[in-house]
Amino acid sequence: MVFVKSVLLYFFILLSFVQQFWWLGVIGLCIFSWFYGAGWLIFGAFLLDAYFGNFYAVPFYSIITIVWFLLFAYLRPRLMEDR
Amino acid sequence: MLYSKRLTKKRRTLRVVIISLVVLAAGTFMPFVFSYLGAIAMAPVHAVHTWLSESSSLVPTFFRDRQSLLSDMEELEHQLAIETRTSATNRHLIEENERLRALLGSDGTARIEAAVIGRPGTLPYDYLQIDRGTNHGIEVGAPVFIGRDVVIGLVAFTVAEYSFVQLVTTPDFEATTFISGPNIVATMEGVGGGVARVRVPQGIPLSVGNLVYLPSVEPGIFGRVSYVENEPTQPEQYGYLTFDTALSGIHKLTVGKLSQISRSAEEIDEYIKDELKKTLLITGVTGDLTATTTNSTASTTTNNNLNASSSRNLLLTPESWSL
Repeated sequence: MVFVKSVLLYFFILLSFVQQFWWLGVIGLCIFSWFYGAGWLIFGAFLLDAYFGNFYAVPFYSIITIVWFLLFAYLRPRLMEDR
Repeated sequence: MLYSKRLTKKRRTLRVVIISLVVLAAGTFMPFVFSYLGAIAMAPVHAVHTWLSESSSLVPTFFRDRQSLLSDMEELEHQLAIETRTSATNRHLIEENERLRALLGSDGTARIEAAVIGRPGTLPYDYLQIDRGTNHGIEVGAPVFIGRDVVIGLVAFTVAEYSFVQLVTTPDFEATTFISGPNIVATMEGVGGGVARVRVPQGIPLSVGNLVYLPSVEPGIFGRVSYVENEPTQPEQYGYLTFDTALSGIHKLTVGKLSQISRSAEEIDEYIKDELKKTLLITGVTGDLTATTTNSTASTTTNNNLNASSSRNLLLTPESWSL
């Protein structure tokens, strides 16, 4: 069940960015990062950059997601400790 | 134990970042391979995206309509804001216009309201018949308006109970106009069939929508240029004018006074000269008084008490002569 949920959410995030519903995409991204980790999002960002042809210029989805992954890896343990 | 767990996590994070950077570098060097793989992997997402964007099914249509309506609403709100501002500007200009007219002594001539009882179809084109005549104060030559200040013609014939209005679009009707936009004066000539035209030389930036005024009628807007005929090989270009309101749609109009037709420039010049001549003639001044004044001026000049300008004042100002 967790796997299905994570796949659906992952699909929803990708679709949101393809549809240019930025806010929905960012919200989905935060939820996914919290529950399932931000690592898999980097793969999704590669897919989005490949889909939009950003590798011919600047693959900004991938770069932003790697930064997000590092930031989240730094913040998550601290947020967990607070809880 | 906790330390080793954190170390493992750090190592894992580092590993993910390094792998990601390697993939990123590979993608930058081989974008075509990544684009190809991306297109295959994203096929399900692309299919849903296409369905949402192009399908005529209920759900996608609903979303598309909603988005379209939202953007329409935004655009209309924007237009409404502009219109409100324009309306306020118009009100301000109308008020300013009235204030300036009042300063110039305009008496806001009352107009006679009339109903159109005959129009093209039953009358020759470019003539209107109205239900007001000499009994109501209609004069031959008086300007006829639609609304506040749009001149459409002149009264050509009047009897006790009705009159005929000759429209400015009647063939051979000519009037001097001022075209706002290129800001030039040009002669307007009626063409017939509710159409008039202005002819201006090539190179004048005449365009559709330019406002055309009849400066000889107070207040005199005629209409807008609705079509421009411009052949580059011809020495002149033509701007065609039509009424904003269709002739068949006019059922009420107002008739002004003959005094609203301005005099010609020469007549106005002559009138001004006559008025100036009148001011130079001062009645009630005798030769003795003038001589006394001159003597007094001479004596005061000797005494160095008055300068030359004050002596001029003494000569010209009646109040000073009593001194």
